[in-house]
Amino acid sequence: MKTKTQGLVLIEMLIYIVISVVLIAITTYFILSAYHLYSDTTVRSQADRVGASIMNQIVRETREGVAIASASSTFNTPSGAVTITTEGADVEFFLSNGRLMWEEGASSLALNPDTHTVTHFYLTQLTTPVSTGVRYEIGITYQTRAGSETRYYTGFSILRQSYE
Amino acid sequence: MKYTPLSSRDSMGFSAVETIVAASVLLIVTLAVAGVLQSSQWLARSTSDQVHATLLLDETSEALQYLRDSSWSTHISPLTLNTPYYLVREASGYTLSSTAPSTPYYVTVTFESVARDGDGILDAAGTDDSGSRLATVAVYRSSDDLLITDGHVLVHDSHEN
Repeated sequence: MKTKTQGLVLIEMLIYIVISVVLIAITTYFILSAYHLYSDTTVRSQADRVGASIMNQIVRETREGVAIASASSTFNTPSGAVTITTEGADVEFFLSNGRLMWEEGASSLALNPDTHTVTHFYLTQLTTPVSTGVRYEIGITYQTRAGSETRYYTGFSILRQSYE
Repeated sequence: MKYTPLSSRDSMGFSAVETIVAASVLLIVTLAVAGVLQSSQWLARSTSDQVHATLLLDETSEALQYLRDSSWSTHISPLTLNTPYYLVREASGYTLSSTAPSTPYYVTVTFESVARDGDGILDAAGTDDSGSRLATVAVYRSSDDLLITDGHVLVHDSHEN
């Protein structure tokens, strides 16, 4: 007995192509959205890690310091700098082209990566009758899909050796 | 009998039931992926809160020492026990206020009395030490007053000022 063979007619083919394109477009949109969401989340998390790392180091170095070298320190401006006198070499923190620099003697190190620039380094020297401390405000700026964002981190440290 | 390939048979296309089942599977997979993304967003926010809260706890501990160094009799002693005060950053230093600041996170400090025995060791049944305070420091997220973390700091009137 002869069997009836069938295939796809042109109209059916076009409909299938249109439906497939629509489904692929929707799927691609969701995949790209998920990727951008992941990317933004990652860069924000990295900003927190950089901010916390910087603040912990600055606070620790300040706490171990003997005194603040006022002549080479800049307070109450967004581009501050501080020189901490220690029992060894002086420690300096300052901004240079979006990088927060740490210097101790001949050693120099940038504390933040290129992707996360430090745009705000505000220092306030707080003095009491018996001690001296420095308050730090750091602003870290990074790029997301929606544009640039800035997160701020604060810390305060009293120089333990400033106690009389 | 001659074998007839499936593709040549009369039945073609998908039935309505097959289409509904396929759409349901696709929907379930999509919802699962969306759920994972939402969880990752929540986790990222929670981690960020923890980072800021830890820095604020450390800053508050130092700020309490700053207030002690400035003047115990002015900044610590007059404060009411078991009453939360808000740590406020000012240009000239820190204060403990009854009004919460307008910041993404806020910190409360609650002082409790400290009792010691005859040897100066902390003892709840001992004599009240007016020169010491146990501060409970708590960090909250301002948007929903969520407690993120807390800790304790023992503050002493070391300089008798």
